[in-house]
Amino acid sequence: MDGDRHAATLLVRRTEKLVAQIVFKMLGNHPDRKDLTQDIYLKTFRYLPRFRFQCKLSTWVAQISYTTCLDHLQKYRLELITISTGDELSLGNTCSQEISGDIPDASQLLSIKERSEILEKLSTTLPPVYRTLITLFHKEELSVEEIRDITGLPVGTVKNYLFRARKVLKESLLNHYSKEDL
Amino acid sequence: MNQVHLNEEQLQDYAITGITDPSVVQHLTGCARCQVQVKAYQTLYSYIREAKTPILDFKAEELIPDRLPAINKEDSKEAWYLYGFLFGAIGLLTAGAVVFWGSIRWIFTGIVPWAIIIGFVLFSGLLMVQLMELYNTYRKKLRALNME
Ligand SMILES: [Zn+2]
Repeated sequence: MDGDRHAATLLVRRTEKLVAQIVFKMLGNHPDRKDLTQDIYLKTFRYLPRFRFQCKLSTWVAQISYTTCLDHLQKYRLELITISTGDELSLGNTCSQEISGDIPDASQLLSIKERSEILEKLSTTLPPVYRTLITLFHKEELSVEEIRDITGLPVGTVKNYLFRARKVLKESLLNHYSKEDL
Repeated sequence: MNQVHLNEEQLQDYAITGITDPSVVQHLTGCARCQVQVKAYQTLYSYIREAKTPILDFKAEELIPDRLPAINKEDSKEAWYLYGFLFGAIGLLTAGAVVFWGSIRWIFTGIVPWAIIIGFVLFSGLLMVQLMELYNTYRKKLRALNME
């Protein structure tokens, strides 16, 4: 029994970063965030006997996290994947060919906190699923196949969402710096 | 210089991998517009990589229930019981054969030695395959649990 408890503690420690990433990206500052995260771990322990070793245990916990958040968002009928055309168009138009090209140099001077804040601001234009996918791929360095296992989306869809999310974020970044420069 | 600008996919891929066709590299060297786009993607990727990881606002460890359900121990238990039984049976048969060799040697009279050898090799081979499979399943489970 002590061994099981130790294993469960390890499971929590090894997955809480990934769970937090998914919950924060899917729900943002939603008031139910804490309750939902607790629910994810309660489900994890309850359904542990159903784990069939088809994937890594962390992927399985991430799967529970993603579907729990998705169900919650669907319950509140929140927009999950649609990037509003207006945003995309307005951002697309600012794809300024005249930008001087010193974005990275300027950003080098910023602290990680400042960069995080900029990214946070830019990410608000993205729907929850896109935000989550981008984080899983670029921050958590998961493969497209692992993301497919977590989200249940086909590989092609994962790639497509990643492509669109990167594009929107890139345009927002260019827009942000062109505004700063003005 | 290749006058066609890089498309969005090429820009994204190049910013991630740094690998692309020589003609694309040639274009990039001379095109300020595409350079800005690549830089923008690279900056974006670095922002995401360096972004602070959110921290749960409670201690998730406290949610671990007092009575934890077991993870599929039944499956592996069954397999180990089966192999235990199999090896026990083989051991008993071998011991019996050694002790009662005088009484049972008539069974093997008339069977040529190479047939016995082939039978033994086949049986051992099958046993090895089964054992390998059991070991692989065990490794797979261990990997999944260790979240390697
Ligand atoms: Zn170009």
